Amino acid sequence: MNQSQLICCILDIGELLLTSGAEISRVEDTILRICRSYQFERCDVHAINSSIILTGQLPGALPETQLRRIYSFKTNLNTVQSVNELSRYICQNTPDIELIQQRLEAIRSEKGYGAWVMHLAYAVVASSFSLFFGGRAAECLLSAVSAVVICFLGRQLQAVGINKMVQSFLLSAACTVIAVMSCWIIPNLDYDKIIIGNIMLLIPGLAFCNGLRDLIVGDTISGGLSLSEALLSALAIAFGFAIVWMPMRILL
Amino acid sequence: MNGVIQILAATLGSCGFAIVFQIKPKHIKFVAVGGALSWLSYLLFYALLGTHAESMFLAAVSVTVYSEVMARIDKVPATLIYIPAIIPLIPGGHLYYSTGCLIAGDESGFRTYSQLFLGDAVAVVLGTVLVYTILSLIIKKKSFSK
Repeated sequence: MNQSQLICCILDIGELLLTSGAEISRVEDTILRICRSYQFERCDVHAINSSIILTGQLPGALPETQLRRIYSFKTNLNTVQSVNELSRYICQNTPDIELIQQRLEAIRSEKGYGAWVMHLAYAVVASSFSLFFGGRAAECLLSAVSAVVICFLGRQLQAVGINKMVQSFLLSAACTVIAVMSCWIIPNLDYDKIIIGNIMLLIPGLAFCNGLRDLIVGDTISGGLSLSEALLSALAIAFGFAIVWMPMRILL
Repeated sequence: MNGVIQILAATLGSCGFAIVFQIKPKHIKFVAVGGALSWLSYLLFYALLGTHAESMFLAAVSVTVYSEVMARIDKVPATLIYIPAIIPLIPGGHLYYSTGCLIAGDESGFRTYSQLFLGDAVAVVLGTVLVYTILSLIIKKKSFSK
């Protein structure tokens, strides 16, 4: 078996796990297990949010290091599960590289929920968190409407490939505009309750907590990176709110 | 009554996030129970203890244990259930309000909300890590990576 191709293939697996939102420790553990099952004499792996480095040495070969740079993330827990199953299969059967590549391609091309379901899910999340934080029926409904707009805008921005911080900023501004406008039209609404439902979709609270967890578990670099990214993104969201709200407050 | 509505909202919110994170329909029932459990256990612990941070911590412990158990029953990675189920406990609202106060120049508001946010985040994460640590001690023998 070709060592370079095998290492590259194992990195493909790690990359797919990491970009789909698996924990750092899971990525490293999966890579180590696969390497062991292929009888690597030596294997060292170092994964952080932005790259994976793997050094491996098959019996009778020279050690070899490859680096994989990770650019974009999209949480897809279904992919994490499929790759997890695949890696179990690999550890038990140590199949050929071609078979692994085929399976990986099948996982990558797996169809997730369509656009309609996604818009609906955003609406459900926003209205339930609006309700959760004490919103009334009208506010929940408006929160859902605003979430549909945000989902639509977010997909467009993602297709254009805009920077994530700018995306958070624009989406937060958009949801503030909708909330404040609806408060102008309909009296006695609490705009805060409309916004908070949407904020739960945008704010990186989960990323912050995952970063904190990585820090405590010992993946210090990844944890620090996630934390700083989450805080910056939260600031961008607050800026998006402020830039709309401040001029509108003067007009009110 | 308020609590019942919140638990229902948390359940729906967790299910919504499960779809956003592309979890297949057959696993969503486990997520729904997890989302309900997270807020129900917070409310129960709060009624028993009367302190916010400790209740958050214990609620996080129960959700993590639940997701680890269900992951073994449903044969999926525990993250699949844990991530959407923990969402009602994640202090996203506090994070938003604290950065909002920071930008508006409201110092006392920033202090209040950032303390609340950090306290909750640390409580939830510590609860999770505690369960992970105990679990890894128990199932150490099975692990491939020594």
